[in-house]
Amino acid sequence: MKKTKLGEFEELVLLTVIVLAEEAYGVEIKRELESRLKETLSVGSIQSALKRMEEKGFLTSEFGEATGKRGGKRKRIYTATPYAHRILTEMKDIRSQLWEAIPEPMISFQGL
Amino acid sequence: MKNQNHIQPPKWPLAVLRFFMKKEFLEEIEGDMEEIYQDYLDKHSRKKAGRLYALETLKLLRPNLLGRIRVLSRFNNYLLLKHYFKVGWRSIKKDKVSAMINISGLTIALTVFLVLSVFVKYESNFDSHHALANRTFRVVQHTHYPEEELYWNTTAYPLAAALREDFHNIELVTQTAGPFDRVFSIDAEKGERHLFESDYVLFVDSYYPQVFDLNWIHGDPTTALGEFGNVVLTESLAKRYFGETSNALGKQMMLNAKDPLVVTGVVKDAPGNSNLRYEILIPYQFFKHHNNYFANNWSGNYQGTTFVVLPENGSEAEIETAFVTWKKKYLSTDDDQRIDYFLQPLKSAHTQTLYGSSPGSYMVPRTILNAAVFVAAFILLIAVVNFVNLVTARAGMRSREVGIRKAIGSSRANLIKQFILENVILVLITICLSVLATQLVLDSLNKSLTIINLQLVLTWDEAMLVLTAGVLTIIFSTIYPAVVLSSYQPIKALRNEITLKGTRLRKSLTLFQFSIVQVFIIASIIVGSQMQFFKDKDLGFSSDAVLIAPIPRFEKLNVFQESIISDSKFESVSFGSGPPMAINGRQLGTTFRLPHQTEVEGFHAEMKIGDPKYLDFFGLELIAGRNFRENKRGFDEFIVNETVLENLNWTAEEALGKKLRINEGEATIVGVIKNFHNNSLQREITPVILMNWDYFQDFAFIKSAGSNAAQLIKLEEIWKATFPTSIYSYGFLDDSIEREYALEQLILKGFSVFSILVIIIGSLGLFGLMSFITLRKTKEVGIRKVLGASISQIVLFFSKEFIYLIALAFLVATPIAYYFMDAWLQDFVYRIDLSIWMFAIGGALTLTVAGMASFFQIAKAVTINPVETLSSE
Repeated sequence: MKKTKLGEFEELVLLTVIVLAEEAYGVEIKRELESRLKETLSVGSIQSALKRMEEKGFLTSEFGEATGKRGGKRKRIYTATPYAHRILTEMKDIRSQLWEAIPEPMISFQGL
Repeated sequence: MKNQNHIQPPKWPLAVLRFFMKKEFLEEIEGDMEEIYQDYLDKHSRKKAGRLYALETLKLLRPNLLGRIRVLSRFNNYLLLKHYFKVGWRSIKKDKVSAMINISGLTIALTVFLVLSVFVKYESNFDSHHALANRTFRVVQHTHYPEEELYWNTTAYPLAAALREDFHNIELVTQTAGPFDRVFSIDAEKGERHLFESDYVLFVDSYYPQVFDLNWIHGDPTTALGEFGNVVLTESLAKRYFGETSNALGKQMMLNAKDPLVVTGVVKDAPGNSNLRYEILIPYQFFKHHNNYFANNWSGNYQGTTFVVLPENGSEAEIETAFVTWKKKYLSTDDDQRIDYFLQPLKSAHTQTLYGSSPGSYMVPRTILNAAVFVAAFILLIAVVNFVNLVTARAGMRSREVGIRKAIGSSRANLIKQFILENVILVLITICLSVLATQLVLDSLNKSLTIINLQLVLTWDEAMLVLTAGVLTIIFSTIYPAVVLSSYQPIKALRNEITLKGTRLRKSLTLFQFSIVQVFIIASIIVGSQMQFFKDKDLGFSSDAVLIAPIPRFEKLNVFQESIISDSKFESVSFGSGPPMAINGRQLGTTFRLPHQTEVEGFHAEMKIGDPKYLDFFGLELIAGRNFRENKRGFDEFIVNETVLENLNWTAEEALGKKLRINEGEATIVGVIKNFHNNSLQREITPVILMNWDYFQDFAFIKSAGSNAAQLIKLEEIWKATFPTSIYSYGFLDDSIEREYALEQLILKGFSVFSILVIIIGSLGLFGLMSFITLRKTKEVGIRKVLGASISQIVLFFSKEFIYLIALAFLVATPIAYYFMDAWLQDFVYRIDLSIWMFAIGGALTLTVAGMASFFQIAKAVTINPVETLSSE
């Protein structure tokens, strides 16, 4: 957390990669995120996040199989590294700790 | 599945992608995009899918996805380029003196080159802006006399109408009269009256706008010049007197305070490079009405010019041939034998010397333009030679740098690139400076030469020319250092074992330069001497402190004379048709013969009108007979000069009492005067007949007791009191005479300026050569000094180099200068003899300048401690 920053969008993409597991390649990640966020994303934003995270060591990738739909081009399947898992867990912990630290009334107030 | 996938996405986004994207990402992203496109196809029309796809592709162009652009990477030595630039800049900065010399030398030359090209282009394109210029000709006239032949660019007035009538193979004929000077008055709104004089009043017929392009601002081109009483003004004149050009239309102005004219049009000012100068255009009918005699006279010509336009593929020779028989129809038998008509192309009217300059304009002989082209080319050439010399000499000092570069792996191509870039820096600076300097020079030329309405402009054509010159300079200045230096074997270069070659080439280039330098210096000395000769020459009359003021004809001469004489500020006053020497070419021509002879047997002569005081006033010496007693309406007495007698084979005593006939009438010779220069000194003394006529007394000559402001003010007062309706002007006779040599003065100025420039550039070249020689001989000098050579011996050792060169250059320059200057002098009837001292001074001057230019280099070489030069091994 201290050394490597993981942006908000990057975190979402990273989580999607983990969710999709074997199916985690560019267009699929885009589709998945679009349906969850209910907004359209550009291939460019996804790709640039993927490449950035690969450079930072959150992701590794390898070529998968080629399909006709892709004009014979192979997919690149992304996998989260153990380091990424650790960072994600750390971030989740920090967040939940923070949520718990929020005083009661405020939550009920928000609930109203 | 395959069958469905036949729809392909548009191609160009993919091409963009492939060009910019990092190669290792391409397969994955191309695949992704293909999938995306198929998704779009499912939802949208093919067209929209394509559009969305393209947009999506463009969004992929993000910094971290982009690869190195391959076009740039082809010049993968971008960094190296930056390095070369830096090193180049440093080496320029390190050797500031030689960079300055290089830049200033080339800048001067390029500036001269540019200015002269602009000038030559301007002078060569006189009147070529008219649409019909290529087919327009001026009718010129040759008049034969027993003694000489006269060439006129003006012709008789009835000619134009006759040509129009008889020649159906001539498309258009137009007629101009003038330009003349006329006085106008305009009544302004507030009861004010503007009185002004214009020297450029041109009378033109209604065909004029068809032949020559006038740029109309207001008025109808077809009718504006059609009617008697119309007048067309130029833009600047209309603005000056009516504020706005549109205000001028329909306004009335008075000519000579008696003839009303209505402004029917406004045209743009005549361009500077036109022989037809005008400020005011008046229909020819007006001139014809007021000058009936001239307008119907076929024998003489009075500032009238006839232009014709031939049809496409019309033949001028054919028409000239037809003239020979045609003219008999109109000319008297005498005139038919005397006069021949020819056609001169409009475009050569400005540069052909034979017919002289057009009325109201000036001319530049073709030979001068050619000389200017040569000068421009030579100056540029010697400057480029210098540049090459200096760059080479400097490069020689960098052999060690080249050695190191090669040792650490620089390729030959890279070294050449480096040298090219360094020269590019120098040349670019030079080009910028010279364009700037040219603009300044042109501005000041235009300002100082408004009298000939010079309007020089720098255009892109010249800019291209200078760029070409720059590129050539770079090529020449790079070939030697780049090719030779880059070929050095690194080990030799590092050990300083390189010998600099090419001394012979450099010496011959310097020899060439100094030959040109000496030609210029000698030419300046000769032109200067000729001018001095003109100034010192006894003209045969006195012109000291003589004021000339034009006066209106037939008006109160006596009143004026009385007022002048009664004032102690003035010594004497006389009236006449002009001063003894013709100024501005103003002379009255006639022919003279014995009473029983025909006109064809007559001799051409100048007729001069004076008054009884004229001879005394100008100090003209009477060698026989007596002076006039009075001027008469009908003249009856002649005083002739010696040249008249020579033509008739009479002695002075024989001539007295004889009758002589001239075109204007007959009279008795009562006196003979000594020859004086009635023409400017370029021309011979011609026959002069002085007569006691009271016609043509257009000038008053006033001798003042000095020339201070009080006298000028007094003269103006008297003049204006005597002639209140005319416009006053005055001049000094000395100044007017000096103006007769304006062209020669210009040549002298040109030669002097160019000599100085050529000397500067040549000295820079010598400087370069000497630095090269001293560099090469550093070690030799060291050894000589160690072995006991004295400083003076070493100075001599180096001086030999350039003295020998300049002596050789002198031998080359002398015959060239002699040939050209002798030819130039042949144009003058009264001229100096070429003498040895003119050449000797030229040589000596060059030697002195060369000595100064070499001094620093020699001094540096001589004073250096041999320990330093010899220990560098």
